[in-house]
Amino acid sequence: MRNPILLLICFLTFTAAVQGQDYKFGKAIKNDVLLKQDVKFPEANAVVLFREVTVFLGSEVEVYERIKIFNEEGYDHATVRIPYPDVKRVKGATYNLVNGAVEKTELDKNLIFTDEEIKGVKIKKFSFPNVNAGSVIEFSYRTDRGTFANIHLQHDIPIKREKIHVTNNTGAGVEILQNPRAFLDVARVEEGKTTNFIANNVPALEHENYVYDMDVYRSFLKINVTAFGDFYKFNNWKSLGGKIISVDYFSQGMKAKKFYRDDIEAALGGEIDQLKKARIVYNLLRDKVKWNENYGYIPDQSVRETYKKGEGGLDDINILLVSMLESVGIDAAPVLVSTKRNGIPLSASGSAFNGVLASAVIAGKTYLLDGAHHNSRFDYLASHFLNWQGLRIFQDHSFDWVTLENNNVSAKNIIGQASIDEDLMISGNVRERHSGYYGIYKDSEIEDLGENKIETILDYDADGLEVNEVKADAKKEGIVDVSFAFEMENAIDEIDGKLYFSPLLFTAIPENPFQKEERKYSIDFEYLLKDQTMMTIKIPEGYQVESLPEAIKFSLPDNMGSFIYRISAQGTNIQVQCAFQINTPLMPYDTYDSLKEFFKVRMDKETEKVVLSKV
Amino acid sequence: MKFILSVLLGVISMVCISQNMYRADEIPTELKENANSVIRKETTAIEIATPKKLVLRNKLVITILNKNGNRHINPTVPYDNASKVKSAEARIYDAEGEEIEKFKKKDFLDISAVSGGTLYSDNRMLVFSYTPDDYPYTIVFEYETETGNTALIPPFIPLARYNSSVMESIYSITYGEGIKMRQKITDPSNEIIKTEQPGSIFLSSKGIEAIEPEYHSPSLDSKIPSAFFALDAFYLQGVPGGGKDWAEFGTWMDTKLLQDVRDLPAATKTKIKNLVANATTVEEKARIVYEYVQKNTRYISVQIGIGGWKPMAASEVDKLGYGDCKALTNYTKSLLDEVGVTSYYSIVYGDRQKRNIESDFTSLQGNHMILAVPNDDETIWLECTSQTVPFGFIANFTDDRDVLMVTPEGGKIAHTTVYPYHENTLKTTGKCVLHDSGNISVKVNMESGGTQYSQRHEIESKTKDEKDEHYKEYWDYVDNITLKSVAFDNNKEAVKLSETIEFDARSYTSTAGENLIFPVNVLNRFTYIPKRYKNRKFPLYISRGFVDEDEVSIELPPGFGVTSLPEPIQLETKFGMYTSQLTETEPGKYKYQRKFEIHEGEFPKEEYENYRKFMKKVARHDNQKIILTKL
Repeated sequence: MRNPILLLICFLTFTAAVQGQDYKFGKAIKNDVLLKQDVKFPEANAVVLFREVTVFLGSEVEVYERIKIFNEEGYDHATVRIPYPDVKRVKGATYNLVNGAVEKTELDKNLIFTDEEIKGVKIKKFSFPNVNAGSVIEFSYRTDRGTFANIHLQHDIPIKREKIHVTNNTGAGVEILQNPRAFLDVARVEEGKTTNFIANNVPALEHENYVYDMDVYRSFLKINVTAFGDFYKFNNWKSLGGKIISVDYFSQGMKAKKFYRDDIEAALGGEIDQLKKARIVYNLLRDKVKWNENYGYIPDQSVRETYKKGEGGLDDINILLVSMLESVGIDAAPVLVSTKRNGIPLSASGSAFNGVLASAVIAGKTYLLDGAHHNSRFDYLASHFLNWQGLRIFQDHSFDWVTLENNNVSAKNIIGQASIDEDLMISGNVRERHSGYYGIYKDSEIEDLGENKIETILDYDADGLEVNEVKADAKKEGIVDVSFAFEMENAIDEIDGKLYFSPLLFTAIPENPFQKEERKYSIDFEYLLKDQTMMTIKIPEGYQVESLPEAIKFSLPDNMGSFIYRISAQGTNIQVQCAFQINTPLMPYDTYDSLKEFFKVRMDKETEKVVLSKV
Repeated sequence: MKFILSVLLGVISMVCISQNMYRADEIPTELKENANSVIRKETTAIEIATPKKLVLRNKLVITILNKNGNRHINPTVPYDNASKVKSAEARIYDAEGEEIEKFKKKDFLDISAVSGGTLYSDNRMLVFSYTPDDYPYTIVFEYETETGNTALIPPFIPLARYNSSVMESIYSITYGEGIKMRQKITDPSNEIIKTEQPGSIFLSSKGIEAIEPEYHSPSLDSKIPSAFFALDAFYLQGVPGGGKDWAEFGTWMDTKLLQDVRDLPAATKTKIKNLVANATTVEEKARIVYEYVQKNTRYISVQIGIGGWKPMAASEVDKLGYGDCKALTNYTKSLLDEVGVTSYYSIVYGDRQKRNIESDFTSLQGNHMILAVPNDDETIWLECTSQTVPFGFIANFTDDRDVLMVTPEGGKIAHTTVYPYHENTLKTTGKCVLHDSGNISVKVNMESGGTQYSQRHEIESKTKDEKDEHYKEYWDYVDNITLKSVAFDNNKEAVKLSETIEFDARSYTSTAGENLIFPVNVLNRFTYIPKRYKNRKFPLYISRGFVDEDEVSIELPPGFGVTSLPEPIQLETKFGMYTSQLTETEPGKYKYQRKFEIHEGEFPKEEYENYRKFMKKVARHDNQKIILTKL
């Protein structure tokens, strides 16, 4: 016998969580048609008034949405492309206020287009009839496809209220998680086999710079299958890791093999230093095997096939790398990882990871290695792998977590000499060295260059700057040297016979990248970086230094970053030195104000003028 | 034995040839200059046996030299309900001419060819995608299509883009007896060789060097050879059509595509008549109708079959409240007919870059439709797809170009409104107060007209964040701006936009020792210096001019003085003029005045360097600074 009071309390709690209005198709339209502006989102051109998604896992999804169009700018939202394929029972209507009464225009079935955007995948598209500023539109549909797909909780326009119901009658183990990077306050209520989510006033997804991929910050629900039949059953990381490592191509592949032994021995040439050996093995693998652009963590072929064919997926290549490292006596193991786009691995499920890397422990230090991606190098992972932690798994089914941050500093060093002629044109030479990720990116720019003009690899865009004699030299180990000569017009102001110019010339930061008043998402610089510039400028004949900018050192709180500027006049030269450093690549959004100020100080200083006067 | 040997040798030599044929190092050096891709050989063969059947066989061999060349291949075979793809194949070869990948027809993806802004279209295409690892590489792409449409015959354009060169391009067109074929060949540098016989035309070009794009130069069309073809009598999605001249062609469009789509519901007829009841002139009536259409429709494009060419019925637009350019133009025309105002469909190339309908070559052309309303001696042009542009305003998209106007007497070529420089105005009036911290407080009004109105009027409807971003970008040389207020007055009747903005900016001045450096042009600085060309190849072309006038009062903080005022500047050139001066109005207060004009026109290439020098001087004077010293 259940306790009726307890039931009542549950019921009350549930209704208390429900605020705002729920709708049924075609009901209670008038107030919405009368709406002139949303109180909470007064600038919105359109809002979703209500949205309900009912998912029966493995069988059906039903979606209902009611949208208010406030003005012409919101008309785009009256055109709908349904994201699920093969939908059925699409129904829609537009409501307008005509002479004080609500007028309904049904969505004509003939105007719902079935577009095979890709042959075989039928997508429905339609645009609502009779849409005016003030219109309310609503639509609903069902589909039996994509029931395990992510459920977006956030659109490009605000959502006033939404309810998501996920019912699991499948017998599979399932858990439903929210994207941890998108902080949305969602009420969650479990009712037997159904989980209900309710959210109110969900803001539109806004786009910002220095973000790896905006979709990473979209609020959504992710449905993880944690157990399914016999094979697919993980309730914790250990069972997931164990399950994966017991796949033959995985566990067998990791072991040392004979077929590459001669190649490795030839490449090693008797080298005994562990770190040097690891590098040699790594470079050998990269020369031998090309990546086919596929991700994944369960190899599709044996390591022998991968090696002989010279091509494979991320998993094929990195399991082979583990095997090759093991064969030369280096302590290596596979590390399961999730790319930034795949999200943070939150719970043990088949979709927690989408890739595998190799780790090598040498003299107590762990090196993370990826032999596949074009933008990975020894000890540098392509930046989309720099995502929180990876799960390192061992043959005995034990595991540990390794951090995927890169602790190497990527550096850009710029050294220049310049002189000023009678027409106040500045000319000179610059040498640059790019290392770490800077080198990797520069290297891939050069690789993609083909027979394109080499000057396109330079990063400068100052008005009046002309460059020539550009040379680039990509060395092994990801270091790229660049040199060029330049001429620059309009860089010097002559006022009352004195010369004014910024001694960093075109290398000064052109603008503050952080101009917005507010920031909602973390700021991602991707890696530790250090930019250093030294410019030496010859004082023209007949002039002397009247004033120089003052030296400065400025830091972000908690030493997340620093900026140093020094300048001096020595003999007939002015020499300026400048160092900009980021020590915390991923900064929380609430450091934005400090960061904005930091860049302002940097910008002010880098554009500050030297004054020369006639002797 | 001998026989076998020679066969064997033959096979071997064939293998060698096929491997060597696509070697990248066989491209002549002069064709690699400025090139991201080289068309090794393109062969296009068109057969038009009857006006109802066009067979196209195309084979392209192209070497992609670098990343920028990847987009030089359009890896698609378009088709629609009236056509089918009979074969398609692509092979990829590496630099040594070794085949590395092959796409058979079944490997192509079959996708819908919906362009941006279109809800649905029955145009589809087969597409292959190849991601290169190394450069250079060569693609051999061949396909054959058959279509019932003969209204649009693929033209011969051996070189269709910048930074690409051509080793050889061959084009042939054969046609059945009784078919009347017209042609228009443009060949500015004599690069086309032509042979013609009854029923066939053969064209070829060899060794065309790559063209490097040049800023402020005429459009690519005027620099390259091309040959266009058209039939006097063709079929378009099952509908016969054509015409030997524009008059006939226009009559065909009018009778077959346009006449039967102008029905309106009785209620709408009454409504529109009531709305114009008090209007007396053509302009007043047309304005009321235009604003009614703007308020009640929006642009949604749906293209099915002949619907790609024939407007949706006016009654449908009335019911749905949406349509594409043809449908909305037709709807507007139907309403104007109803209130007794004459108007004509006008077919145009809608693009920021001005492009004429080729008036001397009667054929299906254009990509957009607008409406012409004759009003005494002038014509009012209506863009019917926008909910926001003022009545009769067409700057920057369909202005100053030849269009095909469809009248009951047939087609006629007409020219749309020109916006000369003196109508494209921006008047900036403001006040700038400098604080001793180096910060500034500004209040400014900007009134724009003509093309400058067109660039600005949409800002008003943007969100606060977008406005914020827009003005920070507009004054990008002023850092650390905080906007305090933004107000608009959009006078659609006069086509004038007034923007009034207040903002503060930190660290406007830079320091030099004890002194402050103050750039005097705070609100309208022109920083762009055109690129220098050591060897300019094409004329200087300025498509639209403008006039900017500025007057800004400047207040210095107490305790600061100016050592000396800059000399007034006056520059006069054939491209435009520039004046600026700073005068002291009372102690600590100054007035900055500036006028900058650029005139539209085309000038010989030798003038480019003079234009560049002028712009460089403008940038220098706009960057004029004064030194403020502590008193």
